[in-house]
Amino acid sequence: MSIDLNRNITSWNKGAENLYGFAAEEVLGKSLELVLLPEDIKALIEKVNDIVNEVTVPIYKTIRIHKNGRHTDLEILLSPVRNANGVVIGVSTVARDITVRKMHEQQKDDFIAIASHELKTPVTSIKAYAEILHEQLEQSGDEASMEIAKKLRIQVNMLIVLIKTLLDTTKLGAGEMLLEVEQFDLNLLVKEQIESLVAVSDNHNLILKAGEIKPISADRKLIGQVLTNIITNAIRYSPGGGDIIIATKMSENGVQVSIQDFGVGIPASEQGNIFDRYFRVSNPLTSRASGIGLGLYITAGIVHQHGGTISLVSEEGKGSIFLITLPEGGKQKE
Amino acid sequence: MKQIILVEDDPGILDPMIIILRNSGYAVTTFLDGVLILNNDFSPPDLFIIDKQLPGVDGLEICKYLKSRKETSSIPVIMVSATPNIHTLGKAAGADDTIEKPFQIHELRDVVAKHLTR
Repeated sequence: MSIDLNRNITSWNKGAENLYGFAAEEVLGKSLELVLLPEDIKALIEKVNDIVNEVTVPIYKTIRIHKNGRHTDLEILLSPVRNANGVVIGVSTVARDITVRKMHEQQKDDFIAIASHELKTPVTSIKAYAEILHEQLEQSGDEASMEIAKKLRIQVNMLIVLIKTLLDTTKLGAGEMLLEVEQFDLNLLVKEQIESLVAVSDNHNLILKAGEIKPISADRKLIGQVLTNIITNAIRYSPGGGDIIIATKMSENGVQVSIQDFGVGIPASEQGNIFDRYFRVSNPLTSRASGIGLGLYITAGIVHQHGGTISLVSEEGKGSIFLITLPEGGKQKE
Repeated sequence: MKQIILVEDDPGILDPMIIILRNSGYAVTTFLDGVLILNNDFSPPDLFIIDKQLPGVDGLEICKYLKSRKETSSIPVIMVSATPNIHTLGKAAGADDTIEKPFQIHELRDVVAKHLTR
């Protein structure tokens, strides 16, 4: 299917007929707005402008309306239609129905949410027993058994982190992450995070360059999780050790914190995906690094939920800088 | 000896909690649901620890009930739950403190001690 620069339909194939329910003669020459949600019209105008200006529009997800009024979840690829002189005269649209895929994603999320929540009860029990055992062995002075109980505790704690990660993921997907907002000093939080992470690695120097910043209103626990995730990643992806610089300052859009490492970096081809679900950077140097590819997805989700932004500057072999900006007043909603 | 009433229906959680609290020197009475409490069939303790998800009446309702009665309103209540927003829910129900599952032994001990050494 294609449209001209005024968004009037210029061609309508069999696929479009199936997808939208309209026959070609019903829609040719009419505006594509016929199948758009009113709130999506402005976004389409911008995308058409981008294409006229030779800016590539990435594949995007949207909802369009079928002739019978039903809403359909679609994935859309837009590309330019040119005349003989190469001038853009319209836009061709390839749409794919992802309703079923979205439904499957939802079912999968629901399943993970229920399973993780149900796992919490037995894991609470195992954790409590492991700690009791550890303490009793400590009192009895049985060093060898105590060492085993300690390992048991470490493994239980890893399981708890994994369950929490899975739950956070499904909550972000469903927009159900709850924020408990309070006002606090971000420098102090960064300092605390650094202190708790210093023990993780002997050959990394965690350096804080604290700028003069205003207090922020945010969920302190979740922002702490964001910092832990990024700093842990910085450690993990700089296996040779070295400095990791965490700096704070005021920026145009609020309070900014940057985390810089001098490790393996992220290839340009993969930088666009690193905040995606289940995405892991393919680097042979760090193939031993564990993880299920949810850390940065959750990190970005938390930042966005606060009305903030997260971005990345990275060069392979030289390291990465993650930049997080949080609005100083906090997001008013929620 | 300080008296604690612990309301928890899952023996997997109840048993280790009893061990932890008794080892800390408290006397623990356990209920598997809120029926006896809602019937006022208990001797007032020094502290309540109540799980949120209970058969029949929700733990938060039991907390509200205790806080609404003159005889029990001043007894501290600690709400326990695997729900991450238990802090907000507990506060709204009048709980004096909340603990999110899974918890560390010392978390449980510290919170209990905080309310029993006043």
